[in-house]
Amino acid sequence: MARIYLASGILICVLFAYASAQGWRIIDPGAAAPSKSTGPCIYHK
Amino acid sequence: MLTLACPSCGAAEAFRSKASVFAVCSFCKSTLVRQDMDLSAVGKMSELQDDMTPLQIGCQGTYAGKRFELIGRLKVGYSDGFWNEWYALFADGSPGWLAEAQGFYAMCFEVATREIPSSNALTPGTNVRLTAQSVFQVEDIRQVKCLYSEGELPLFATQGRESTSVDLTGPDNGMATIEYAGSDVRVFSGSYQEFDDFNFNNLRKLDGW
Amino acid sequence: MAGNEEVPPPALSAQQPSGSVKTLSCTHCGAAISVKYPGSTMTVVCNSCHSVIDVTDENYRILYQFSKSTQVCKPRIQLGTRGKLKGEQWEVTGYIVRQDRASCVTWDEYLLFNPYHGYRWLTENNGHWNFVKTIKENPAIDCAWSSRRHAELDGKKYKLFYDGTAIMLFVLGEFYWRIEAEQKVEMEDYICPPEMLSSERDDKEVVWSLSEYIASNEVAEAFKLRTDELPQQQGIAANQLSPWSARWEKISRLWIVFFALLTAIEIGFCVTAANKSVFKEGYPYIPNSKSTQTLTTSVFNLEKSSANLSVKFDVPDVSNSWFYSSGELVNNKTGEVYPFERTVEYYFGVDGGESWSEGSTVNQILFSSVPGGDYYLNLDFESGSFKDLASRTFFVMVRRDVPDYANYFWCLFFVSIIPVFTWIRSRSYEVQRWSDSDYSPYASSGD
Repeated sequence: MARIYLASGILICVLFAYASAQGWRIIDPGAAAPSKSTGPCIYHK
Repeated sequence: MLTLACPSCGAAEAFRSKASVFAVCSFCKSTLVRQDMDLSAVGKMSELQDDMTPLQIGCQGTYAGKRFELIGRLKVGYSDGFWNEWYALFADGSPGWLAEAQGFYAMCFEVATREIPSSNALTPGTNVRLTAQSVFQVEDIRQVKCLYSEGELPLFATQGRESTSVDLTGPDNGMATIEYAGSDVRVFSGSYQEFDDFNFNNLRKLDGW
Repeated sequence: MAGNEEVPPPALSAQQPSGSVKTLSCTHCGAAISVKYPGSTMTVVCNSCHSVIDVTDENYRILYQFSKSTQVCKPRIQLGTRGKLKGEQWEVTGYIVRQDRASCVTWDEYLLFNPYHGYRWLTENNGHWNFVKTIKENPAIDCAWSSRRHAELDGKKYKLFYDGTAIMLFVLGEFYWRIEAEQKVEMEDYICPPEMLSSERDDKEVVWSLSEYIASNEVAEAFKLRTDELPQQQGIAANQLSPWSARWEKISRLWIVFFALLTAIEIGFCVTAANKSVFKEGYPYIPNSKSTQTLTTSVFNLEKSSANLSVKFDVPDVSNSWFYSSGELVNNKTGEVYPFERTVEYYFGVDGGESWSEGSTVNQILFSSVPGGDYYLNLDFESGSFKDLASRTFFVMVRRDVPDYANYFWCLFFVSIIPVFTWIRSRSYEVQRWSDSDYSPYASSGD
């Protein structure tokens, strides 16, 4: 159990460091997911 | 070492310790009293039922880094049991007593104390300051009788010798005994040690063990 | 004893063979009783009629007898069998069934003998086994420290678990002391799993012993028994080692390490975050307009191959009114869009003499891992509840690589799941252990 925790904890720390370096929110409920523009935008230009 | 002939059977009796005044002839079981070079037989020692002690005269061990050899034994009994007191001679010639009961082993030495309370003043639980450093607690007070003795001893350990024995415990596995034999009061203090830590050799052979 | 003259002939007086068995016939029923260790045995129990006999008495006095109605208990480990426990060989020489007077809970005790190491006890209670050694040192009892009594020995603290009066229900075998009829003792158990300190007090003395919990399969193995020949384990023993407490110890220590590590990393990122303003512009808007107003910002450049991006709306004139914008962040090169919407609203007032406020004049959105490049914003916006229609200004601010705490808190949460779970399990194990005790630290007071 402690070993599993050690492994998962290290994984979380690594993930955290990586995500923070990328400016990536691991969990982002209000995320604005990027999508490809599908031809003429609903917006102008 | 002093060697004298048993007045009863003529066997050679060796006295390893100068303090020994009493011996039991290993051949004829005569109880012998020594006065200087003079040995006189005062009676016979009758055998007792084997108590499964793994110790015997001639057994060697280590206590506090010092080797000792058992040269005498005093078995005492009280209303609810018995124990053995083995007279031990250390390599430097100093004596000690190895108390053995139900697999507990404690080495103790006679200590000089200024004031010893009378046995009537003691009850289990009483704290007694025996030496300047340590306070001991009375465990039990027993009327004991010498059941058996062998080897050489510094006291007249004839069968039936009566005394009052007070057992005390101290900190760090410490123990003490006060022995009241008539007007003669002596105090011993020492400590318990695990059987394995004594590194005994020349133990008695116990069938099946 | 003093008969010095009547002694066996000298030739026979040599050392007797050790362990010579002595046979006697029962004073009560006449059945043959063999005493295996006559030199160290004081009490022996007749196998047939269960009379308890004093072997040191020349008439083999009967100390007492179990009444016929008393049920005969059968030891699980046969008397006379030997087994290796804790590195030493032990012979089972006695068997005692005892009972707590108040709760009527019974347990078994087996007396073990080894001529070199003396006596030990093997106790069995609800299928749980303990290896017990009498100790000479008296533990210190502390009852001053709060109401919870505990004992201390060799620097270890033992918590009071049980106290009560124990009586002897049944006895078999041979014993090194004289078993008194109706012998009852005041018992106290103090626990520090897997160890337990127990004291037994009668009118003559107090005897302390130190128990160590041992697995039942260790007992079965030692005495060559099948595990199903031993009683089934029930519940948790007083001094059974909790598998969770060791895990909790390790895991909680790891949690501290992870917490420190995550915090250090977070602080590192917050300090080194560029937090660079890449775009800032004010735009006019007409309040309460029915139609949506639109605008497109100028292009701004984002550095770094990947970092977050915050878009902040600052609408200082929002006051008991609202401003809404939906829009998209557009990559000028790939056309990739990040849609979003935000409302800025701020309300305040006085209600029943108390002033209140709600919302704020700023609102922002954070885009996670936005690739570097040239971007612009498309914004649609409308507003309402303003008191007049005068044009006002709102500001859009874009910052690249801003400090963010979301990951930190999520990771802290994830890293805490196992510790919290372990703590709960560890605690419930202890609650269950102590449920058999009158001294449970978990019991609600007044119980």
